[in-house]
Amino acid sequence: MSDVAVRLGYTSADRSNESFRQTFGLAAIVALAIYLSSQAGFLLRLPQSGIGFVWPPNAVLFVAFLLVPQSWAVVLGAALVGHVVAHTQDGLPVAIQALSFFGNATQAWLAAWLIQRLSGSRLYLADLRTTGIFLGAAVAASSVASLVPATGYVWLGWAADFSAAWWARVLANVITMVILPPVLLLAPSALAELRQKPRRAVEFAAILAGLFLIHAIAFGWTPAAVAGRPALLYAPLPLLLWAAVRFGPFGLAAALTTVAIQWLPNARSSAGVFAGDSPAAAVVSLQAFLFVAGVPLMILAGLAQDRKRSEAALRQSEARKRAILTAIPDLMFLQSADGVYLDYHAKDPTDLLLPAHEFLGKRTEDVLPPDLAARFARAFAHATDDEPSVVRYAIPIRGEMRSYEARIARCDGDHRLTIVQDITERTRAEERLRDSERRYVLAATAARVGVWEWDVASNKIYVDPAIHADLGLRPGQVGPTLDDWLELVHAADRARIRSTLQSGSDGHATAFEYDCRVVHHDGGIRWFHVRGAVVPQDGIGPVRVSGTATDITGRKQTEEALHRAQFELARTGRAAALGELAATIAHEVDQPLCAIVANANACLRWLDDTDGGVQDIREALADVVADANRASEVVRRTRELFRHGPVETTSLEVNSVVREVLALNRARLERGQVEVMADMSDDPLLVQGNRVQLQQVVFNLVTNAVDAMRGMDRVARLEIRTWRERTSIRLSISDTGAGFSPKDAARMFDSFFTTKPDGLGMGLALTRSIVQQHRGKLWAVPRAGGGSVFHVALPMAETNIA
Amino acid sequence: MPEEAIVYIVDDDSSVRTALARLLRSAGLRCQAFPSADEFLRAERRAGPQCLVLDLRLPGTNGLELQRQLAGVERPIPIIFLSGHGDIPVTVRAMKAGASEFLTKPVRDRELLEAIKKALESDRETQRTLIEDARLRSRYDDLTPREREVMQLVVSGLLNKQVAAELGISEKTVKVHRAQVMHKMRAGSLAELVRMADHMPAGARPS
Repeated sequence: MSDVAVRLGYTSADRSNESFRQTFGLAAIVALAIYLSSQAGFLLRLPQSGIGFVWPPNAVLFVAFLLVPQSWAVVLGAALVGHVVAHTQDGLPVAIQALSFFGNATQAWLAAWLIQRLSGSRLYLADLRTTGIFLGAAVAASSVASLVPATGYVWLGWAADFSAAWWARVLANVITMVILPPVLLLAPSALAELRQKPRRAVEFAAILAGLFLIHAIAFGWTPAAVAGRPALLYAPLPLLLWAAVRFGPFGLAAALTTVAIQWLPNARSSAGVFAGDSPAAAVVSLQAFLFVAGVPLMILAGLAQDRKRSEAALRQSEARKRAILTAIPDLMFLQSADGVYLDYHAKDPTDLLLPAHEFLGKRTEDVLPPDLAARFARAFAHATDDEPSVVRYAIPIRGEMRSYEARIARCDGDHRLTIVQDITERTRAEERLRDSERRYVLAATAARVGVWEWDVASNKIYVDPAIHADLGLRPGQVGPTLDDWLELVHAADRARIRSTLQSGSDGHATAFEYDCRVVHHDGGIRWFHVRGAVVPQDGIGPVRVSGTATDITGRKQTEEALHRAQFELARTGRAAALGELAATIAHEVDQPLCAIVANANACLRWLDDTDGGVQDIREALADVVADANRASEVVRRTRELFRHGPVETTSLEVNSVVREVLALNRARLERGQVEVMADMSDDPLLVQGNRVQLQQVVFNLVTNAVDAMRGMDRVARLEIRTWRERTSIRLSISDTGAGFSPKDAARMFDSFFTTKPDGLGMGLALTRSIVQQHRGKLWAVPRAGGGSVFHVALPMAETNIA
Repeated sequence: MPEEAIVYIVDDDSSVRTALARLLRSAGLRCQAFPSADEFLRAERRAGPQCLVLDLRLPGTNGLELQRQLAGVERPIPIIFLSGHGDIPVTVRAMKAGASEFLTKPVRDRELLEAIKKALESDRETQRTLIEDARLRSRYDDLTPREREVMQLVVSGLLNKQVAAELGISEKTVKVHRAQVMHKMRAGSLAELVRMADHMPAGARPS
């Protein structure tokens, strides 16, 4: 009660008030119930005996003790009041009253105590166990509690024989316990159930009606036929059995109560089946029947409850299983050990491969192809209760090949439960993944492309096994940091790569590519073409830089060989052309010299011998003069040869000329590891000139710069700038090469002046000659920090100025 | 010197041509100059010792070409090449083809005159040998077939008896033929006959 109060949120003041009212109410109810039930008990008393047929107050007291054990004192007091009032009205002596109250209270309390103690819960008469405990407690409590009153009755002379008194009391009390408390205790839930299920209610009513019918037959309609046939006392037994089995302890107790109420008057009047018996004997017979039939039937009722409960549990579990089956898409088969289909579950019946109505009773080999059926047979043999066999297979279903995975477990002794999962999509996805991985590996292997990924924060770099292989390394031999790998890079390339990667990780560049040299495990140099892309993350910036590295050593070697061949060819060609030129010049000069020498020698002979005439000598000397002049003319013409004749000029854009030359020289610049910085004017820079000659100018200056930077320790950087001034177009090309000394500055544009071991000394002379022909100027200044800057100024084309 | 020597000059450069001719004249040599190979080939050459001063570089038929053509003619001529520059492969080819000398322009007078002198001597010697050969040849042609057979076997070192056995004639007949051969060939001794046989021009030489 108090916990109910707490749950309802009463205040403590309310609670004490409430608790008083409840206690008083409880006491009043108990006292009244004891009083009224005592009156009922007096009515049902045996003729000429103080002991009742049943003693309802005991049932009331027991139920009160059982339901509100914590208020036992209130219950006991109230019961005493009701008892004394009823018994005093009845006129029984006080001693008898006291003895019977003591016996009744003891019995009720003991039974309640035993039940609570043994049942351990508030489940009374719910199943076989609690029913057994109930009956045991009833019998034990009655037996023990009847000892004192029976002894007292005899001592007081109220009863003659102890054992008769004890027996009468025990019998009455046990019957009381069997028929009344179950009705009292279970009525609320049982009646609620009957209200919910009308069919059950009708059934229950039919049982009660049947009992009335039997009673009417036994005592009303044919008294003569039933007279003196005590066996007919058992006529209600089938209906009692029905009630026990179908409606449990409540139904049985209610039916027994009905029987007792119906039959007791007949027993007391020795009517019907009791004809010939004394009323006392008839009542005892009825008691005996109620006891003999009631106790076993109560046990049966408990058993029925058990059964009902387990059936409900089974139904629940069945329902759950059904729900599971409905929810899962897989096929399921239950088969006997030899493969006969006993049951199946299939979302789509076409998965069965046979029409659904033909399916059950078929064997595995009737449904599946022979080889697959054989695999299933083997799997059946290996399947155990806790280790399923697995069969993976593919069969054509609905016109396409589908893959399945069957898991076979043993169940129900020697049956096999098979769950078949459609793994077609999974298998296809796996195959696609495998295919794509294989293609990737194949492509990467074929292209000799290796993958790398650098984690900026940890500085760790993942490098593909393919790259390891290209460098003759075992996986894991180098690393794991970027710096470990940079150690392998050729010293000349290292700083450049570090700064490129740095600009990627700083977020200055999103993608880059470069060629670099890496030292192979065997000490040789391999060329790699490296591409990278920065992988940014929102809010954090670049977190990873990943890319590929391709071994291009073969290509590089080919390129270099080709370049060497081209260079050799050009040099040879140049030398041959020059040799040809020189031979021509030499011949042209040699001829007059030859003549001069011959003439002079002839003169000398004639002068020595005085053989020749003066005329001869004069002629010879005249020829000497002529030939000398001729030789001089040859020399003049040769110089003329180097002077440029008129060339065709057009309006030209200088930036495009520079770009063409850079494009032509890309390979050479890369080979020289030259960083090119082009800072070109956005405006068109128009000059009047000859495209080929101006290309020659840029080409010569670029070549000169690249040559000057060859073999230098510092980074080779070529900077080309173009811009316009007021009346001229300007171009500058700076290099980080060796530069030039003031001594060289004066002569560097002279023909045949060179600082290169294989140079002709013609480049700058020709270049300046071309620039001058374009009415422009070419000059050089030292570059701050080492190197040279060559400047070209060309007059702006007319259109440009306008 | 029974016949006066002559030096031919072929050079397309007239001033060089004139100057060289003047130099040779000053050295007392007779010379004749041509501006091209073809004109030289067309011209009728004189008898007597001679040589050719040839410029390598010529318009039309060049020097080496002319050398090849001259190698096939009846009267060979020693050639002194003049060239503007020392081109070794060309020099080698010219020398292999029998050039007497290879000089570069401008040429030193002493070198040129020395080379000319040598070439003329060599030509004179060649001419003498040619005359001797022609003489031997005409004597040999006078021999009867039998006498040629006998001469051939005798110069190969066989005794009269062996020659007789070889030819199936008597030793006496061999002696007659042998005496006839010695007479016709104007050989004073067997040794002289053997030497004559050795110097006979190819084709006429007894094998």
